Amino acid sequence: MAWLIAKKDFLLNLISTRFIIAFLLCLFLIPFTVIVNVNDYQNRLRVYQVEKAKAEKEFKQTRVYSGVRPEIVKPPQALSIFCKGISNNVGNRVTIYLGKIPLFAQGKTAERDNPLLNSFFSIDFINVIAIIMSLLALVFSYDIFSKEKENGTLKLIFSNRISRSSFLSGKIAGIYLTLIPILLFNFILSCLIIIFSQDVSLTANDWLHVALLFFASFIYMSFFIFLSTFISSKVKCSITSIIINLFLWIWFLFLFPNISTYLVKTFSKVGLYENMKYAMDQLDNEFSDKCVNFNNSFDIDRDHFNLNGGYDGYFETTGDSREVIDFEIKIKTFKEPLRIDYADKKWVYQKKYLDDLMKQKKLAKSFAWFSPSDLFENISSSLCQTNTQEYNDFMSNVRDYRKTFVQYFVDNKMFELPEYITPQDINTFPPKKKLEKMWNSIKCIEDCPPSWFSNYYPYLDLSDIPVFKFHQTSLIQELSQSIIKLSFLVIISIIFFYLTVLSFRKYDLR
Amino acid sequence: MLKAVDLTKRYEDNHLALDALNLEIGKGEIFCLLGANGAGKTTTINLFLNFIEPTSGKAFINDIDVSKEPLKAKKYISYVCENVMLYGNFTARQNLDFFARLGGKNNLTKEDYYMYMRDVGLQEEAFEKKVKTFSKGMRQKIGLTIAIIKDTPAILLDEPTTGLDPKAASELTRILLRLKQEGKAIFMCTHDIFRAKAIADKVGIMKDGRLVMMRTRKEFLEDDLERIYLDYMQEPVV
Ligand SMILES: Nc1ncnc2c1ncn2[C@@H]1O[C@H](COP(=O)(O)OP(=O)(O)OP(=O)(O)O)[C@@H](O)[C@H]1O
Ligand SMILES: [Mg+2]
Repeated sequence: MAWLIAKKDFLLNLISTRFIIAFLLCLFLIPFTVIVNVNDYQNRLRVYQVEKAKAEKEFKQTRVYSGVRPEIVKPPQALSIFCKGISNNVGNRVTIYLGKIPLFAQGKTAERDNPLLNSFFSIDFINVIAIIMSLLALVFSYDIFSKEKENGTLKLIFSNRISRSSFLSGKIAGIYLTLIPILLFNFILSCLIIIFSQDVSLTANDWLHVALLFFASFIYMSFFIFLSTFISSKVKCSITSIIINLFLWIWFLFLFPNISTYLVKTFSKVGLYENMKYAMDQLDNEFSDKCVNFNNSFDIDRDHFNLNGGYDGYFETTGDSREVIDFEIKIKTFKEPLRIDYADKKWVYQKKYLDDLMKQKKLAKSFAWFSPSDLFENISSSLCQTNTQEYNDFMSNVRDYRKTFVQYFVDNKMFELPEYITPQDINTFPPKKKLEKMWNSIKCIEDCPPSWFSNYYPYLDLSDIPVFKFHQTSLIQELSQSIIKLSFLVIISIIFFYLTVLSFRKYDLR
Repeated sequence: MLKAVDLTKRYEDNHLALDALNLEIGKGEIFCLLGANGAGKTTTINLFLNFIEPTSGKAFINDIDVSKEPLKAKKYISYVCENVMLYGNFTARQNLDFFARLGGKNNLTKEDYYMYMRDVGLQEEAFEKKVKTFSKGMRQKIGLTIAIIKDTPAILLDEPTTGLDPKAASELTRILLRLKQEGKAIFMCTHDIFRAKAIADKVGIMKDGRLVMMRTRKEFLEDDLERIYLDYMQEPVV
């Protein structure tokens, strides 16, 4: 009996205008969204490849240890095609310095885009699914009882030997029979587009994630089906039902997320970025002062023949006197551990700022429990590895790596090595007197010995420097993040289903 | 076949729509229930179909208490309601097919459906047409066909002749008489006194929820049914 009702509803839906409109809507929206996002991914991939090659090349091109700057470039996630998450808001590049603990990555996609083009379509596949499937769920369920009643078929059906529960299950099965093909169609269409696009290759693991995304979408859709059937079982006529349904839909998808963002910002204040920046600048100044004082405590002429350097601690010199180079080594031996200390001191402020941001994010996450679409978005971005958690993990791996990197320098007493600041053999630096004599015999720059120039020397062999390794979060870890949220949606749906059963028991059939 | 024992319905707003109705309709018998708008005719039918629960009293179909075993009782009954819209996007045949299967008739062919539709006088070209294009009378015929296909010992009809043209109405009469011949118990609510007079074995007049008069065919043929009806309508109930 239930199957008969389900089949009837499926056939009726199939030839209904709403089904055709729904189908056309998906047929246009999905390819458009997916193609835009594939394109976006391809661009990010290209940028990544260029940046990575550049980073690797620059890393190797150094002749002194003070110039070693590992740069970590994070590859774009292929699954961000489905769900962008925060991937466009955060950067993908981190340079490791002794003097600074990285807070965020550099190189936001948004900054690379043409700022003159207003990106009106920054919606991703999961957004489309969240909007379309919830809308379709209620468009197909809002009148499941009232339509039959208005047609007079409800009485006719119940003049037969059919129980209310099998009628109800038949009706719900009918909705599923109609909507699952649409959902499947959306996924298959987007997968096909991805398969046939260049440069995008999904691994078996990625495909597994896509399957999980489908499952999550199914549950998300079910929530709206049961919400809507519940409302239909409470309300007598179709018009009232669609009004309530549409209101709830707008509330869940548009009003609530905005209100919750507003509430989060009101209840959880974040200190100004500028304040943090100011505190850090103060510390930087303090550090500089200490260094200047240290320099001034010696009375030595620091004239260099060929000096390259920067505020970040990079220092490369050649062709100096032995006295000068010894002094510079002494300075570095003092300065670099202090620099590392100050990085830790600055981190206190950075950490506080980060904690504030995380507190906000956490509050936003707890608000998300009240909105199925926010919950669905969280689940999807977690499955696609484009969520805050994944980014935080990456950044803390980067910070751990910096620690290892710094420790390597400390352990090997690198700051005391001449190689830290010069490629020239320490024993070839002449005493000041001798150097002055040499200078007197030099008329023009061509007369200088080539060993006084930095590019006379080969690049360092950096094979011993620790390298950064990307950690892949395991499927189990990701699932454990999503499973509670998914189960929550399932439980809420079951509760709505149960309420529908209760309320349909009393539904007036006349 | 159909029996009401002190069947009473008082709605939630305390309106007494049916007051201790007692009646019995046997096999091969047509009972016509007459009464003004709001008299309680549809309420009676809804009670037989268990769409509403009786406040007191009992309704029986084939000696099965409807409110105790509604599903079992519904096996023996079919129902023709007033102004049924059916599934507009289905054709006449698809509508029949759905309700036939719902009524437990799974093995009917297209030809069978055509035969049934021909039988109630629906024009051939409408058989495979979407029902939303149908007139009220055409839909009423489909509604009747559904009941005929279900082939139950008892049939409830709620104002089946409203909206039918005279020809269609007399076809309906013919069909009802044939069903009576087949031994079915027929309960029909109607405003159509002439039709009732033509086919009824028993006529009841209902007023404000009470069955104020009941006459057998022999009795009401001797008398003038219209006059009796109008008399009862004017008289205030005591
Ligand atoms: N759900 C309800 N709640 C309260 N009163 C109701 C309800 N349904 C019907 N009634 C009342 O019960 C009375 C009988 O209604 P019923 O529909 O049985 O009349 P009827 O004889 O079928 O009339 P008609 O000829 O117009 O079809 C009416 O006065 C009506 O107002
Ligand atoms: Mg009525």
